[in-house]
Order: sequence, then structure tokens, then C-alpha cells
Amino acid sequence: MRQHKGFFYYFVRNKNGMIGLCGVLLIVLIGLVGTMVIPKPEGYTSDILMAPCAAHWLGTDNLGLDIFAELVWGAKTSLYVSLLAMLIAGVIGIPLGLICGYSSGWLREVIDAIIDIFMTLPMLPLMIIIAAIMGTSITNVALILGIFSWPQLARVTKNSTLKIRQMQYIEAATCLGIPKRRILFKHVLLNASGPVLVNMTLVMASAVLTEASLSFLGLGDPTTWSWGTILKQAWGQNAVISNPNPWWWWLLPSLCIVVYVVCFNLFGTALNDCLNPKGRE
Amino acid sequence: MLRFLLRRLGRGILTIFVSVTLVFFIVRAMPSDPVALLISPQMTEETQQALMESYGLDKPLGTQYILYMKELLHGNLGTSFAKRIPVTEYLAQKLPWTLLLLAAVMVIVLVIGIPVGLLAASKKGKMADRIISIIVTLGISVFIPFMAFLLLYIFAFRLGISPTGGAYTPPMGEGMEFYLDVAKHLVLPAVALSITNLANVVLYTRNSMIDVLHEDYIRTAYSKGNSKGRVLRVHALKNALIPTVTVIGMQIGIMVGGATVTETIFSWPGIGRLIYDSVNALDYPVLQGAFLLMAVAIVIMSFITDLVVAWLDPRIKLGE
Amino acid sequence: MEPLLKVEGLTKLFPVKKRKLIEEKRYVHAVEDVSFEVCPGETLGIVGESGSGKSTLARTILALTPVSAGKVYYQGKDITNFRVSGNEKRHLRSDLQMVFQDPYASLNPRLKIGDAIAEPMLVNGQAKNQKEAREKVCHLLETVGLRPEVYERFPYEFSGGQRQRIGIVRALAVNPKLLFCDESVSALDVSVQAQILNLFNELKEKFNLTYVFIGHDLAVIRYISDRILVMYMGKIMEIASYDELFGENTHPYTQALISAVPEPTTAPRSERIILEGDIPSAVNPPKGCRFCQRCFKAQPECFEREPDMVQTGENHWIRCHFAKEAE
Repeated sequence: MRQHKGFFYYFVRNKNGMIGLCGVLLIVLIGLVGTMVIPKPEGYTSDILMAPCAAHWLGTDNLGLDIFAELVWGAKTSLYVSLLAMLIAGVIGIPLGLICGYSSGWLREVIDAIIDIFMTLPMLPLMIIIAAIMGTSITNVALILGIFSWPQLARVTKNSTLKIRQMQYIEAATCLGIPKRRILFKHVLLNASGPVLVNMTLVMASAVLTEASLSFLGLGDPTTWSWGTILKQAWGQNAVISNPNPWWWWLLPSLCIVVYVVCFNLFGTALNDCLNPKGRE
Repeated sequence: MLRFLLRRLGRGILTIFVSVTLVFFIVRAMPSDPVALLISPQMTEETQQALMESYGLDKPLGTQYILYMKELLHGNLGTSFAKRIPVTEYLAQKLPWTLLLLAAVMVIVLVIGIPVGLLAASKKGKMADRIISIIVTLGISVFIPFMAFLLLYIFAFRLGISPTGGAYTPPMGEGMEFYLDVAKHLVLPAVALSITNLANVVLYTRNSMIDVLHEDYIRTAYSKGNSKGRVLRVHALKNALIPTVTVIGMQIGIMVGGATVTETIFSWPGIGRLIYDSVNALDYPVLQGAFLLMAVAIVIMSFITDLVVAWLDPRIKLGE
Repeated sequence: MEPLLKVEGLTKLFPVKKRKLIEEKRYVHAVEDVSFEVCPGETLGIVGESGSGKSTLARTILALTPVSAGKVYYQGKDITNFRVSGNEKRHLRSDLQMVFQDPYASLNPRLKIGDAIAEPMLVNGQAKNQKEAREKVCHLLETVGLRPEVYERFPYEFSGGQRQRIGIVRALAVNPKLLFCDESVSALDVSVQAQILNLFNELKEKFNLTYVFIGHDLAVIRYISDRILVMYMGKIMEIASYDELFGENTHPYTQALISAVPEPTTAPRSERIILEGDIPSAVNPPKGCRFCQRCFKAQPECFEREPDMVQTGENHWIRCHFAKEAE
């Protein structure tokens, strides 16, 4: 198990990676456990726009709802959206990337063209339209994100496959009569797993950014909390430039988004460094 | 070379065609009916009918599509539902503002990004590099509205030295005063929008410079007795900039389509804001026009990027 | 005796990628018009410089790359490109096996040794379940001198020689009849080479194997082969039995190869024949004899007309204008 031990050996010693991992785990914990303990903020109360205090650790918004509770529920939404988006991107992108990298002739040309065209389509504007069509639910948002994230994953998988298919052990597997499908989804995928995994964490990070943008533009789910939704409401009330300034209202959700994305990016970068021997120095 | 050009041309046209077609049908799948927004109850039956016909909304979807494509080939993008002016004219009003924002962003990115990236590469592993790396990680992960809020809070609210939005103080002035006014409005959106790009450019420049400095030909250049500065400038820089050029090229292509979020926050009258408004107004022709513009911009930019990269990298011969 | 494998006029062309829009399609002539037979129980050596097409020849026979022209027969049946029914294909994939050149590249780094060997057994039906496969694999590992504990290990834990043994076990696991060894010892140290060659000889007895042994080193090929086939630029230059190849009447190219084999002798060395230059481009092969540009016996005729194969003995064929034909 030298190589596996090696990976953990390097990962544990990668300071940024460990910070990222701890952050990711903390967010998962808050999103899962927090939402069980803290009830979903709904309706309105009279504690309007209170600054952080003992009763409301992180203050309240213009409806008197607790910002901390909103953030916890927002964490759950972010996790759900980014996980689902990653899974959808993986389910579409990985097989297409494998097939595109391994086959030759028209099939490869077609998939290649689809990836290329998808990568050049303007993402956010198209998502805005599609979000308007599909209606605003977090599952729909995740679906849209997944549908627009797969080409990136497919390209990474394809490039790895192109390299791996030339290896002698793949030819050996063919020679030993192992079916093509099995070669692709076992032998090739096992060896491509490094870059693919890294890219999946990056998809999760960018999914949260895009989800926040869509929610901020009012295309999020109005029935649940998301960091982007909180920001939208704050922005709608001119919170950033009003006096006295309810800074907790717009600053804290923004920080949550940044921390989430930083953690995933750190984790992904460390994963890349530790899986890729060149980066281990 | 000719083979390469033809192939790229084919891909480009295909991309534009797919984009146009996709947007045509996606736009028409939006749940509400633009006719309801267009027609007011006071209109007579005939006026309503005439209006529908004038926009071609009474015909079946397939016919609408064929008509649209035919008109497109003649350079006619249709008429805006909301503004009742030709789409080309409408886009032409908005495009300069987006291009202005884009130019400002690119100036910031190039002037700061490349030197900082090179600095980080030359100080690899040292304090300066580490600090730059931390800032870059934050920059890549930053949520642009957050950046915009911070800037607005500090410069517009606390210090009061910057306007909170718009591209100029109405009414539209003239001469030097007007340009200064626009420049003042331009700073915050440009800075907010450039953060992510800046971080990316620093990162790519740094990493590729470090990679290039490991290459054999750099060692050869040193061993031939070249000074360090000369090796960096003549031998390394050109190759190290290849990934940077690719990123910038892609970004320019995408940003011609505007930055919806930034333009919305700063009420910047560009294409991105136009798209957002047009979705709400169900203005099909404008949406189609804007997407066509974006597709063309992206195709052209990726082509230019390839040419520049080929020029920078002697190893790449186009068409192989 | 009926040959186990018969190859007739086998040709493999690789298209050269076009650079210009309008350009004549050109090909690399990797293997051209190759015919030979392999009898059950014998070891056929194929020798040639790198780039002579010997590896491509093996790959085309095993349908790892499609045939451009020609036929391959196995036990009298046409198996060109393995275009046979699914069941027969499974038999073929078991019967014809290959031990690869690079022991570092031919084992999947992410698969455990045992799984890598057991998987084809399960796919091709040599073992019905995991347990049976495991028993068989462990037994085979012992046969080649490895301990059964390696089952749970990963390839990077082994040396080149050990890996090659694992590669051999993997090929043997599916009960092959005909084993292609493509430069199977070239990547190893000389001392390890000898061990593996001896192993090949032992296994041949034990499992009733027939070998096609491919290599660039005549010293190695000579050690193991009954008959030797010399290839140059995709064409057969000479087919001869062991004795005849080292006799008087041989192809100039073979003579050059033999003169390069180091001899452990105290006698003064006969003069070494040094070939000038590299193997020419196989995209535009010379018009006359393939070897004419580097041949030390070349005459104007050699540049004009390609010689045919000439039979000079019962089992001896030479492609040379100067070969002495058998009476």
C-alpha cells in the first residue's frame, strides 16, 4: 500500500489541504446537525434589524428572523445543491469523457463537438433563462448547475483517458479478452480517478457560487433559505448603503459563501498536489 | 494552415448555429406568454391581431424558427417587444457600456496580474509568494456581489467618494466633465469584476512561469551565458504567457455578454443587465440577439486566442 | 503436421496524418506481405531492429490492431481480426496470449496483482468463482517462483523481474496454447533475463506451450528458438532453422546481426559488420530491396528490383538476389 499510504502521508502534511478538509467537514456538520436542532426561520417577529446580541447571535433581518438560523439553513441548501450538481455532472460527464477518449471516429468527433459547444455557451445568462423556465426550486437549480458543469468534467476525463488508453496494461486487458465496457469503467477509470476527483471538488465549489448568483438574482427557491437569498433580501432593502448599517445582514452570508468556496478549493488543490507526484516536492 | 482555418470556421459556425437554435427554443419555453405583456385590454381585436402578426407570434413554432433564421441571414435580428425598436439598435446602445467595463477590467488584470504573477514565480516559496498565494486563493473563491458590497460599503457609504450605481450622473453631459463622471462610475464595478480574473491570471502566470523555468531550454539559455534578466524576458516570458493568454481570451469572449450580476448591482447599462431585464420582460428578440452576440464574440475570441498562442509557442503548428 | 498458426500475406499499413488539405494519402508500411507458419510445440523467434514491424506483426495477429490485408489461420480456421462468434472469440482470447515488453507498463498500477490475474480467468471461464480463481492464481504464482502472498499486493512493490513473472502468470492463467512474447526480456537486467528465459523453457514443457518469441537481440532469440524469422522494414528477410541461420548461406542482414552478437571466446573475432545509418522511413520504402541502402553487398540490381523469397533448404528461405537456391 505504498502509494495509498503515500497519499495520506502527503495529505495530512498539507496544511492548506487539512484546513480545507476541516472546513468542509465543519460545513457538513453545521448543515446536517444544525438544521435538526435549529428550526427553519419563517414568518416574522418584532425583533427587526437587531444587531448581534445574546438572543440573536448574528442579529436579525428586516422581518425579525434570526440570521444565524438562516445561515445554518443556507449551509444545508449549499451542500445539497453542490452535491447534487456534482453527481449530475459526474453521471453525465464521466461516461461521456471516457467514451470520447477511448473511441475513435465519428462518436468521438460528435462528443468532442458537444463538449466544445457546451463549454463556449454563455453559462450564467442561459441558466437565468432556464431557471425562469423550470421554476425556482433548489433541485431545479442543482439540475441546471449539473447540466452546465458536466462538459468541464468530461474534458478532464477525456484527456486522462487519452493518455491511459495508450498504456500497455490497457492493451494487455484487451488481449486477455476483458470486455471493452469493463476496461473503460474499471481499468481506465481507476487510473483517471485523481484528476476526476479533483475536478469534482472544483465543480462543487463553483456550483455554490453560481447558486448564490442565481438566488441573488431572484431565481432561487423562495421556500427555503440560501445564502444568496439572504443577500438578495438585504440588497433589496438597500442594506449595504443604508444608515444605520445592518452590516451583519449582508456581510455574514457573503463570508459564508467565500469560506465554503475557499475550503473546497483548498481541499481540491491539496488533493491534486498529493495525487500528482510532481506536486509533492 | 488552410485545413485548420476551415476546421475552426466550421466549428465556429456550428457553435453559433447551435447556440442560436437552443436559445430560440429555450426562450419560447418560458412559462409566461409575451403576448399578455404586449397587449393591453384597451386595444381592439384587430389591433391585437395586427400586433401579434407584426411580431410573427401567430405562426406555428417551426415557421417562426425558419422565418427567424432567414431574417438572421439578412442581418435582421427582429424588433424588441418591450422597446419597439430594432434589436440591433438596442444592442448597439448597450454594447459600448459593456465594452467599456470590459476594457477597464482587462487593463486592471493585465497591468497588475502579469507582473504580480511573475513576481510570485521568481520568489517561489518565499514570503511574498506565500502572501500572494493566499490572496489568490481568496480571489478565486470570492463571490462577486460580496466584493461589490464591500466596495460600495467602504467607498460609497462610509467614505462617500464614489457613486452607488449607474454609468453617469443624469442627464448625460458632454465633454471632459462627462468622461470624468463616467470614469468615476466605472471604478467600482470594474474593480469588483476584475478580482476573480485577476486572481486567475496571477495564478496561471505564476504556475506556468515556474513550469517553464524548469524546462531544459532555459538551462541551455543560462549555460550559453545569458544574464538572468535576459533569459526571463526573451526565453521564458513568451512561453510562460501561453496559459495566461488562453484564460484572458476565454474571459473576454464571455464578458462581451456582460456581467449580469455586477451590472445588476451597479445598475450598469450593459448587455448583462439587458439580458436580466429581458428575461423578466419576456423580450424574446432581445434575448436571441444578445445570445447571438455572445456566441459570435466567444467564437472570434477563441480563434484569436489560438492564433496568439500559436504565435507565442514555436512548437505549435496550426493544423496538426 | 498441421501448423498451429498460419499467416498468409499479412499486411498492416498505418495512414499518415494529412497535413495539407489536398494531399495524397500516404501510409507507413509497418508489416508487408508476411507469411509464415508455427507448428505445435516449437518456438519461433522473430528478430529485427526496432521499427522493423515485429511488434505490430504480433498485435495484428492477436487482433489488437486491425489487419490491412492478408489472412491469419489458427488450427486451420480463419481468425483474421478475430471476426468469429462471441464464444469462439473467448476461446481465441484464451488460446492466444501475449507477454508484454515493459513489465512496468503492462500491469495496471491500480489493480492488485491477484485481481489482475483472476479477472481474465473469470471473464473467460477458466474459473467459475472468486474462490476457485484465487486457488488457481496462487498455484500459478508458486509455479513461477512467487509466493502466494503477492495476491494482495500492488505492482509498484515489485522489481522488473518479479513483474515479468506476474505478467507471465497472467497470460498463463487463461490456459493459452500459443504464447507471444513481445520483447519480454528486453527491459530486464541481463542476469534476470537469463532467469526469465529459463522460466520460459520450463513452462513450455509443463504447459505444452508453443512460443512466438519476438526480440531485437539475436543472442536472446537464439537461446530459446527452434526456428528464427528475420524481419527488416516490415518484410521477412530470412526464415531459417537455428543451425542454418548460423551457417554459411544467409542473408547479408542476418550476417550483420550475427556479427553483432558478443561471443565468449578467446579466438580472434571475425570482423564485425557495422550497418550504416538507421532504418529508412517506412513511409516511402525503397523501390528495390528493402535493405539495399544499408547492405554491404548491394549491387545496382538491388536498387532496381525487389528480390523474391528463395528457398535454399528444406526450412530455409532467403529474400536476396545473391542467395544460393537449393537444387
